[in-house]
Amino acid sequence: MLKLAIGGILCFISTYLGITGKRYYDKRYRYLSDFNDFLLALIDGISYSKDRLSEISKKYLASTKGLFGKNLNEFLYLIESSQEEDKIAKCFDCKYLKRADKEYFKEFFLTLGKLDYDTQISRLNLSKAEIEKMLSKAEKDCKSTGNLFSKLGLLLGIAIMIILA
Amino acid sequence: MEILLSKLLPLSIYNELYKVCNFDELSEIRLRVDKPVYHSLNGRYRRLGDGDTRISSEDIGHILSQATKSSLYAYNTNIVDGFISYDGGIRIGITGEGVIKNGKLSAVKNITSLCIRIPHYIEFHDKRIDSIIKNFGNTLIISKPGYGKTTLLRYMIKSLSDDGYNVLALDERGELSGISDGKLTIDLGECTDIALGIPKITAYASQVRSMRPDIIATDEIFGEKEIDCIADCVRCGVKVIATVHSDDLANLKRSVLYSKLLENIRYVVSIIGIGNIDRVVDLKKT
Repeated sequence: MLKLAIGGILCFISTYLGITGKRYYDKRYRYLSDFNDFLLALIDGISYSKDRLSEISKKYLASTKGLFGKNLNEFLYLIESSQEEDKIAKCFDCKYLKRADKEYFKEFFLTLGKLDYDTQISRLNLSKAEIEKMLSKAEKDCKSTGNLFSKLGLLLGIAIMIILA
Repeated sequence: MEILLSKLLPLSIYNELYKVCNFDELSEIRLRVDKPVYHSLNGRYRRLGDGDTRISSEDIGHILSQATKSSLYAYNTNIVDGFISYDGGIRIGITGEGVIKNGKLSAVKNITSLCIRIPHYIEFHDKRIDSIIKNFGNTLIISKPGYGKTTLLRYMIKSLSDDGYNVLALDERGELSGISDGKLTIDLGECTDIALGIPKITAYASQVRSMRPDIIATDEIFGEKEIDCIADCVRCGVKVIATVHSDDLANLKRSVLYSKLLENIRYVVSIIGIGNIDRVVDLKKT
Protein backbone atom coordinates (compact mmCIF):
# COMPACT_ATOMS: atom_id res chain seq x y z
CA MET A 1 0.00 0.00 0.00
CA LEU A 2 2.86 2.31 0.95
CA LYS A 3 4.68 1.45 -2.30
CA LEU A 4 1.55 2.29 -4.26
CA ALA A 5 1.21 5.64 -2.49
CA ILE A 6 4.90 6.51 -3.08
CA GLY A 7 4.56 5.36 -6.71
CA GLY A 8 1.54 7.63 -7.10
CA ILE A 9 3.36 10.63 -5.67
CA LEU A 10 6.44 10.06 -7.83
CA CYS A 11 4.24 9.55 -10.89
CA PHE A 12 2.49 12.88 -10.11
CA ILE A 13 5.83 14.68 -9.66
CA SER A 14 7.25 13.27 -12.88
CA THR A 15 4.15 14.18 -14.88
CA TYR A 16 4.12 17.66 -13.30
CA LEU A 17 7.77 18.21 -14.28
CA GLY A 18 6.99 17.09 -17.84
CA ILE A 19 4.04 19.50 -18.06
CA THR A 20 6.18 22.32 -16.59
CA GLY A 21 8.77 21.68 -19.32
CA LYS A 22 6.05 21.89 -21.97
CA ARG A 23 4.62 25.03 -20.39
CA TYR A 24 8.05 26.70 -20.59
CA TYR A 25 8.09 26.23 -24.36
CA ASP A 26 4.46 27.33 -24.68
CA LYS A 27 5.11 30.51 -22.70
CA ARG A 28 8.28 31.25 -24.59
CA TYR A 29 6.34 30.97 -27.83
CA ARG A 30 3.55 33.20 -26.47
CA TYR A 31 6.06 35.81 -25.30
CA LEU A 32 7.80 35.96 -28.67
CA SER A 33 4.46 35.96 -30.46
CA ASP A 34 3.28 38.95 -28.37
CA PHE A 35 6.53 40.74 -29.15
CA ASN A 36 5.97 40.04 -32.84
CA ASP A 37 2.47 41.58 -32.62
CA PHE A 38 3.93 44.63 -30.90
CA LEU A 39 6.58 44.93 -33.58
CA LEU A 40 3.91 44.87 -36.30
CA ALA A 41 1.95 47.54 -34.40
CA LEU A 42 5.13 49.65 -34.24
CA ILE A 43 5.82 49.33 -37.96
CA ASP A 44 2.21 50.19 -38.73
CA GLY A 45 1.97 53.15 -36.33
CA ILE A 46 5.34 54.66 -37.20
CA SER A 47 5.34 54.25 -40.95
CA TYR A 48 1.78 55.43 -41.57
CA SER A 49 1.14 58.12 -39.01
CA LYS A 50 4.43 58.64 -37.10
CA ASP A 51 2.55 57.98 -33.86
CA ARG A 52 4.53 58.32 -30.66
CA LEU A 53 5.81 55.21 -28.93
CA SER A 54 3.47 55.73 -25.97
CA GLU A 55 0.40 56.02 -28.25
CA ILE A 56 1.26 52.85 -30.17
CA SER A 57 2.01 50.96 -26.97
CA LYS A 58 -1.22 52.05 -25.28
CA LYS A 59 -3.27 50.86 -28.24
CA TYR A 60 -1.39 47.57 -28.25
CA LEU A 61 -1.70 47.06 -24.50
CA ALA A 62 -5.45 47.64 -24.63
CA SER A 63 -5.84 44.48 -26.68
CA THR A 64 -3.39 42.16 -24.97
CA LYS A 65 -2.61 40.52 -21.65
CA GLY A 66 0.32 38.42 -20.55
CA LEU A 67 3.88 38.72 -19.41
CA PHE A 68 5.16 40.65 -22.43
CA GLY A 69 2.46 43.28 -21.92
CA LYS A 70 3.41 43.57 -18.26
CA ASN A 71 7.10 44.03 -19.14
CA LEU A 72 6.20 46.56 -21.82
CA ASN A 73 4.17 48.56 -19.31
CA GLU A 74 7.15 48.63 -16.98
CA PHE A 75 9.40 49.75 -19.86
CA LEU A 76 7.01 52.61 -20.73
CA TYR A 77 6.93 53.76 -17.12
CA LEU A 78 10.73 53.78 -16.95
CA ILE A 79 11.32 55.71 -20.17
CA GLU A 80 8.80 58.33 -19.09
CA SER A 81 10.25 58.72 -15.63
CA SER A 82 13.90 57.95 -15.21
CA GLN A 83 15.49 56.95 -18.52
CA GLU A 84 17.93 54.83 -16.49
CA GLU A 85 19.42 52.41 -19.00
CA ASP A 86 20.29 49.76 -16.38
CA LYS A 87 16.69 49.49 -15.27
CA ILE A 88 15.34 49.63 -18.83
CA ALA A 89 17.73 46.84 -19.84
CA LYS A 90 16.26 44.63 -17.10
CA CYS A 91 12.63 45.16 -18.11
CA PHE A 92 12.65 42.24 -20.51
CA ASP A 93 14.84 39.96 -18.40
CA CYS A 94 12.17 37.27 -18.68
CA LYS A 95 12.72 33.67 -17.54
CA TYR A 96 11.25 32.30 -20.78
CA LEU A 97 13.92 33.95 -22.90
CA LYS A 98 17.33 32.48 -23.64
CA ARG A 99 20.47 34.52 -22.99
CA ALA A 100 20.83 35.48 -26.68
CA ASP A 101 17.14 36.51 -26.81
CA LYS A 102 17.62 38.66 -23.72
CA GLU A 103 20.55 40.47 -25.33
CA TYR A 104 18.46 40.99 -28.45
CA PHE A 105 15.52 42.42 -26.49
CA LYS A 106 17.83 44.65 -24.47
CA GLU A 107 19.40 46.18 -27.57
CA PHE A 108 16.05 46.53 -29.32
CA PHE A 109 14.36 48.40 -26.49
CA LEU A 110 17.39 50.55 -25.62
CA THR A 111 17.45 51.97 -29.15
CA LEU A 112 13.69 52.07 -29.71
CA GLY A 113 12.54 55.66 -30.29
CA LYS A 114 16.09 57.01 -30.37
CA LEU A 115 16.62 56.81 -34.11
CA ASP A 116 15.55 59.08 -36.93
CA TYR A 117 12.55 58.05 -39.02
CA ASP A 118 14.33 56.23 -41.87
CA THR A 119 16.76 54.39 -39.59
CA GLN A 120 13.96 53.43 -37.18
CA ILE A 121 11.83 51.96 -39.96
CA SER A 122 14.71 49.95 -41.46
CA ARG A 123 15.65 48.75 -37.98
CA LEU A 124 12.10 47.58 -37.31
CA ASN A 125 11.92 45.78 -40.64
CA LEU A 126 15.20 43.99 -39.86
CA SER A 127 13.84 43.04 -36.45
CA LYS A 128 10.67 41.74 -38.08
CA ALA A 129 12.70 39.32 -40.21
CA GLU A 130 14.71 38.20 -37.16
CA ILE A 131 11.73 37.74 -34.87
CA GLU A 132 9.95 35.69 -37.54
CA LYS A 133 12.89 33.27 -37.49
CA MET A 134 12.91 33.18 -33.68
CA LEU A 135 9.18 32.64 -33.62
CA SER A 136 9.25 29.81 -36.13
CA LYS A 137 12.01 28.07 -34.12
CA ALA A 138 10.07 28.60 -30.88
CA GLU A 139 6.96 27.07 -32.50
CA LYS A 140 8.95 24.02 -33.60
CA ASP A 141 10.49 23.69 -30.13
CA CYS A 142 7.06 23.99 -28.61
CA LYS A 143 5.65 21.20 -30.77
CA SER A 144 8.61 18.83 -30.64
CA THR A 145 10.57 19.40 -27.39
CA GLY A 146 7.60 20.65 -25.36
CA ASN A 147 5.41 17.68 -26.27
CA LEU A 148 8.35 15.34 -25.71
CA PHE A 149 8.78 16.67 -22.16
CA SER A 150 5.14 16.15 -21.25
CA LYS A 151 5.02 12.63 -22.74
CA LEU A 152 8.35 11.64 -21.14
CA GLY A 153 7.16 12.92 -17.77
CA LEU A 154 3.97 10.87 -17.99
CA LEU A 155 5.77 7.71 -19.22
CA LEU A 156 8.43 8.00 -16.54
CA GLY A 157 5.72 8.35 -13.92
CA ILE A 158 3.89 5.25 -15.18
CA ALA A 159 7.21 3.32 -15.31
CA ILE A 160 7.95 4.28 -11.68
CA MET A 161 4.49 3.09 -10.65
CA ILE A 162 4.95 -0.26 -12.45
CA ILE A 163 8.43 -0.80 -10.93
CA LEU A 164 7.22 -0.01 -7.43
CA ALA A 165 4.10 -2.12 -7.82
CA MET B 1 9.50 75.50 -15.27
CA GLU B 2 11.72 73.91 -12.64
CA ILE B 3 9.72 70.68 -12.82
CA LEU B 4 9.93 70.60 -16.61
CA LEU B 5 13.68 71.17 -16.54
CA SER B 6 14.16 68.49 -13.90
CA LYS B 7 12.45 66.04 -16.25
CA LEU B 8 14.30 67.21 -19.33
CA LEU B 9 17.86 67.48 -18.07
CA PRO B 10 20.13 64.72 -16.77
CA LEU B 11 20.09 64.83 -12.97
CA SER B 12 23.75 65.93 -12.65
CA ILE B 13 23.21 69.00 -14.84
CA TYR B 14 19.90 69.88 -13.20
CA ASN B 15 21.50 69.70 -9.75
CA GLU B 16 24.36 72.01 -10.83
CA LEU B 17 21.84 74.49 -12.26
CA TYR B 18 19.70 74.30 -9.13
CA LYS B 19 22.71 75.26 -7.02
CA VAL B 20 23.65 78.36 -8.96
CA CYS B 21 20.68 79.93 -10.66
CA ASN B 22 17.28 81.43 -10.21
CA PHE B 23 15.07 79.65 -12.75
CA ASP B 24 13.03 82.84 -13.29
CA GLU B 25 16.09 84.51 -14.78
CA LEU B 26 17.36 81.53 -16.75
CA SER B 27 16.82 82.06 -20.45
CA GLU B 28 19.12 79.59 -22.18
CA ILE B 29 21.20 76.47 -21.59
CA ARG B 30 23.84 75.47 -24.12
CA LEU B 31 25.11 71.92 -24.25
CA ARG B 32 27.91 70.66 -26.48
CA VAL B 33 29.42 67.17 -26.46
CA ASP B 34 32.69 67.01 -24.46
CA LYS B 35 32.35 70.66 -23.46
CA PRO B 36 31.16 72.36 -20.26
CA VAL B 37 27.57 73.59 -19.93
CA TYR B 38 26.86 77.29 -20.41
CA HIS B 39 23.73 79.02 -19.22
CA SER B 40 22.37 82.46 -19.81
CA LEU B 41 20.96 84.62 -17.05
CA ASN B 42 19.50 87.88 -18.32
CA GLY B 43 21.39 87.51 -21.61
CA ARG B 44 24.79 86.91 -20.00
CA TYR B 45 26.44 83.54 -20.57
CA ARG B 46 28.19 81.78 -17.73
CA ARG B 47 29.92 78.44 -17.45
CA LEU B 48 28.06 76.06 -15.18
CA GLY B 49 29.95 75.10 -12.03
CA ASP B 50 33.73 74.91 -12.22
CA GLY B 51 33.64 73.55 -15.77
CA ASP B 52 34.17 69.93 -14.67
CA THR B 53 30.68 68.94 -15.75
CA ARG B 54 31.22 67.85 -19.35
CA ILE B 55 28.43 66.81 -21.65
CA SER B 56 28.45 63.29 -23.04
CA SER B 57 26.58 62.02 -26.07
CA GLU B 58 24.46 59.99 -23.59
CA ASP B 59 23.39 63.27 -21.93
CA ILE B 60 22.34 64.64 -25.32
CA GLY B 61 20.50 61.35 -25.98
CA HIS B 62 18.72 61.63 -22.63
CA ILE B 63 17.49 65.15 -23.37
CA LEU B 64 16.35 64.21 -26.88
CA SER B 65 14.58 61.15 -25.54
CA GLN B 66 12.71 63.20 -22.96
CA ALA B 67 11.92 66.00 -25.39
CA THR B 68 10.58 63.62 -28.04
CA LYS B 69 8.91 61.33 -25.47
CA SER B 70 11.13 58.51 -26.68
CA SER B 71 9.89 58.92 -30.25
CA LEU B 72 12.67 60.71 -32.10
CA TYR B 73 11.37 59.42 -35.46
CA ALA B 74 8.12 61.39 -34.96
CA TYR B 75 10.08 64.66 -34.79
CA ASN B 76 12.13 64.16 -37.95
CA THR B 77 10.69 67.21 -39.72
CA ASN B 78 11.28 69.43 -36.68
CA ILE B 79 14.84 68.17 -36.31
CA VAL B 80 15.54 68.87 -39.97
CA ASP B 81 14.19 72.39 -39.34
CA GLY B 82 16.66 72.65 -36.46
CA PHE B 83 14.53 72.54 -33.33
CA ILE B 84 12.14 70.57 -31.14
CA SER B 85 9.39 72.20 -29.09
CA TYR B 86 9.12 70.78 -25.60
CA ASP B 87 6.43 71.28 -22.97
CA GLY B 88 5.91 74.73 -21.52
CA GLY B 89 7.15 76.53 -24.63
CA ILE B 90 10.73 75.35 -24.15
CA ARG B 91 12.47 75.22 -27.52
CA ILE B 92 15.46 73.03 -28.14
CA GLY B 93 17.73 74.08 -31.01
CA ILE B 94 19.63 71.15 -32.51
CA THR B 95 22.68 70.72 -34.64
CA GLY B 96 24.79 67.76 -35.67
CA GLU B 97 25.68 65.83 -38.80
CA GLY B 98 23.30 66.32 -41.69
CA VAL B 99 22.06 63.41 -43.82
CA ILE B 100 21.41 64.48 -47.40
CA LYS B 101 18.96 62.52 -49.53
CA ASN B 102 18.05 63.56 -53.09
CA GLY B 103 19.87 66.84 -52.55
CA LYS B 104 17.83 67.72 -49.47
CA LEU B 105 18.54 67.51 -45.76
CA SER B 106 16.55 64.44 -44.67
CA ALA B 107 17.80 63.89 -41.12
CA VAL B 108 20.32 65.03 -38.56
CA LYS B 109 22.37 62.32 -36.91
CA ASN B 110 25.13 62.36 -34.29
CA ILE B 111 23.61 65.40 -32.62
CA THR B 112 26.39 67.26 -30.85
CA SER B 113 24.90 70.56 -29.71
CA LEU B 114 21.68 71.65 -28.08
CA CYS B 115 20.46 75.13 -27.25
CA ILE B 116 17.60 75.00 -24.75
CA ARG B 117 15.59 78.23 -24.69
CA ILE B 118 13.32 78.84 -21.74
CA PRO B 119 10.27 81.08 -22.18
CA HIS B 120 9.21 83.67 -19.62
CA TYR B 121 6.13 85.65 -18.89
CA ILE B 122 6.82 88.95 -17.19
CA GLU B 123 4.47 91.85 -16.42
CA PHE B 124 6.10 95.00 -17.77
CA HIS B 125 5.20 97.94 -15.55
CA ASP B 126 6.43 100.56 -17.95
CA LYS B 127 4.46 103.67 -18.89
CA ARG B 128 5.97 103.70 -22.39
CA ILE B 129 4.63 100.21 -23.10
CA ASP B 130 1.23 101.08 -21.55
CA SER B 131 1.08 104.10 -23.84
CA ILE B 132 1.77 101.97 -26.96
CA ILE B 133 -0.97 99.53 -25.90
CA LYS B 134 -3.49 102.35 -25.32
CA ASN B 135 -2.75 103.99 -28.65
CA PHE B 136 -1.59 101.02 -30.66
CA GLY B 137 0.44 101.42 -33.80
CA ASN B 138 2.66 98.94 -35.66
CA THR B 139 5.42 98.01 -33.23
CA LEU B 140 8.84 96.48 -33.70
CA ILE B 141 10.74 95.07 -30.73
CA ILE B 142 14.51 94.89 -31.21
CA SER B 143 17.40 93.50 -29.19
CA LYS B 144 20.29 91.09 -29.36
CA PRO B 145 19.37 87.38 -29.11
CA GLY B 146 18.40 86.24 -25.60
CA TYR B 147 17.58 89.71 -24.29
CA GLY B 148 13.84 89.19 -23.96
CA LYS B 149 12.14 90.24 -27.19
CA THR B 150 9.78 87.29 -27.11
CA THR B 151 9.00 87.93 -23.43
CA LEU B 152 7.90 91.50 -24.20
CA LEU B 153 6.02 90.32 -27.29
CA ARG B 154 4.04 87.85 -25.13
CA TYR B 155 3.19 90.57 -22.62
CA MET B 156 2.04 92.95 -25.35
CA ILE B 157 -0.03 90.24 -27.08
CA LYS B 158 -1.82 89.46 -23.81
CA SER B 159 -2.37 93.12 -22.94
CA LEU B 160 -3.71 93.98 -26.41
CA SER B 161 -5.85 90.87 -26.43
CA ASP B 162 -7.31 91.62 -23.01
CA ASP B 163 -8.09 95.12 -24.28
CA GLY B 164 -10.39 93.53 -26.86
CA TYR B 165 -8.18 93.40 -29.96
CA ASN B 166 -8.37 90.19 -31.96
CA VAL B 167 -4.73 89.19 -32.05
CA LEU B 168 -3.44 86.50 -34.35
CA ALA B 169 -0.18 85.07 -33.01
CA LEU B 170 1.89 83.38 -35.70
CA ASP B 171 3.61 80.73 -33.64
CA GLU B 172 5.44 78.61 -36.16
CA ARG B 173 7.71 76.99 -33.57
CA GLY B 174 5.40 76.76 -30.57
CA GLU B 175 7.63 79.16 -28.69
CA LEU B 176 5.19 82.03 -28.18
CA SER B 177 2.27 80.09 -26.77
CA GLY B 178 4.11 77.11 -25.36
CA ILE B 179 1.39 74.79 -26.64
CA SER B 180 2.24 71.19 -25.94
CA ASP B 181 -0.01 68.28 -26.89
CA GLY B 182 -2.77 70.78 -27.65
CA LYS B 183 -2.61 72.35 -24.18
CA LEU B 184 -1.80 76.03 -23.65
CA THR B 185 0.94 76.63 -21.13
CA ILE B 186 1.32 80.40 -21.55
CA ASP B 187 -1.74 82.65 -21.40
CA LEU B 188 -1.74 84.99 -24.40
CA GLY B 189 -5.06 86.65 -23.59
CA GLU B 190 -8.75 86.22 -24.16
CA CYS B 191 -8.92 87.35 -27.78
CA THR B 192 -5.78 85.71 -29.14
CA ASP B 193 -5.87 83.11 -31.90
CA ILE B 194 -2.76 81.01 -32.25
CA ALA B 195 -1.60 79.74 -35.64
CA LEU B 196 0.62 76.99 -34.32
CA GLY B 197 3.13 75.20 -36.50
CA ILE B 198 1.91 76.88 -39.68
CA PRO B 199 4.79 78.28 -41.76
CA LYS B 200 4.61 82.05 -41.32
CA ILE B 201 4.60 82.90 -45.03
CA THR B 202 1.57 80.61 -45.53
CA ALA B 203 -0.12 81.95 -42.38
CA TYR B 204 0.10 85.59 -43.48
CA ALA B 205 -2.02 84.83 -46.53
CA SER B 206 -4.40 82.12 -45.31
CA GLN B 207 -4.95 83.00 -41.66
CA VAL B 208 -5.36 86.73 -42.24
CA ARG B 209 -8.26 85.98 -44.56
CA SER B 210 -9.83 83.28 -42.43
CA MET B 211 -9.35 84.74 -38.94
CA ARG B 212 -9.70 88.46 -39.75
CA PRO B 213 -7.37 89.72 -37.01
CA ASP B 214 -6.99 93.32 -35.83
CA ILE B 215 -3.35 92.70 -35.00
CA ILE B 216 -0.83 90.13 -36.18
CA ALA B 217 1.94 89.19 -33.78
CA THR B 218 5.04 87.50 -35.06
CA ASP B 219 8.39 86.61 -33.56
CA GLU B 220 11.78 86.93 -35.25
CA ILE B 221 11.09 88.39 -38.67
CA PHE B 222 13.53 86.99 -41.16
CA GLY B 223 14.03 87.67 -44.85
CA GLU B 224 12.49 89.68 -47.63
CA LYS B 225 9.45 87.46 -48.15
CA GLU B 226 8.22 88.01 -44.62
CA ILE B 227 8.80 91.75 -44.82
CA ASP B 228 6.71 91.82 -48.02
CA CYS B 229 3.95 89.84 -46.28
CA ILE B 230 3.94 92.34 -43.41
CA ALA B 231 3.69 95.22 -45.88
CA ASP B 232 0.68 93.47 -47.48
CA CYS B 233 -1.01 93.02 -44.08
CA VAL B 234 -0.48 96.68 -43.17
CA ARG B 235 -1.89 97.69 -46.56
CA CYS B 236 -4.98 95.58 -45.72
CA GLY B 237 -5.44 97.52 -42.47
CA VAL B 238 -4.13 94.85 -40.12
CA LYS B 239 -1.73 96.14 -37.48
CA VAL B 240 1.50 94.36 -36.71
CA ILE B 241 3.64 93.71 -33.68
CA ALA B 242 6.90 91.92 -34.36
CA THR B 243 10.40 91.27 -33.14
CA VAL B 244 13.71 91.30 -34.96
CA HIS B 245 17.32 90.60 -33.98
CA SER B 246 19.23 93.84 -33.97
CA ASP B 247 21.45 95.61 -31.48
CA ASP B 248 20.55 99.11 -32.63
CA LEU B 249 17.85 101.02 -34.52
CA ALA B 250 20.51 102.86 -36.51
CA ASN B 251 21.80 99.54 -37.86
CA LEU B 252 18.29 98.56 -38.90
CA LYS B 253 17.86 101.86 -40.72
CA ARG B 254 21.11 101.28 -42.60
CA SER B 255 19.94 97.86 -43.85
CA VAL B 256 18.16 98.06 -47.21
CA LEU B 257 15.88 95.18 -46.24
CA TYR B 258 14.89 96.39 -42.79
CA SER B 259 14.58 100.04 -43.73
CA LYS B 260 11.76 98.80 -45.99
CA LEU B 261 10.15 97.19 -42.91
CA LEU B 262 10.56 100.38 -40.87
CA GLU B 263 8.44 102.26 -43.41
CA ASN B 264 5.45 100.39 -41.96
CA ILE B 265 6.44 100.65 -38.31
CA ARG B 266 5.46 103.36 -35.84
CA TYR B 267 7.07 102.32 -32.55
CA VAL B 268 10.48 100.71 -32.10
CA VAL B 269 11.14 99.29 -28.65
CA SER B 270 14.72 98.31 -27.86
CA ILE B 271 15.54 95.99 -24.99
CA ILE B 272 18.76 95.54 -23.05
CA GLY B 273 17.84 92.54 -20.88
CA ILE B 274 14.84 90.45 -19.82
CA GLY B 275 12.24 92.91 -18.50
CA ASN B 276 14.60 95.82 -19.14
CA ILE B 277 13.46 98.32 -21.80
CA ASP B 278 16.09 100.71 -23.09
CA ARG B 279 14.11 103.12 -25.23
CA VAL B 280 10.91 103.52 -27.18
CA VAL B 281 11.09 105.50 -30.38
CA ASP B 282 8.01 106.88 -32.11
CA LEU B 283 9.11 106.95 -35.74
CA LYS B 284 6.30 109.36 -36.61
CA LYS B 285 7.85 111.96 -34.34
CA THR B 286 11.43 111.52 -35.51
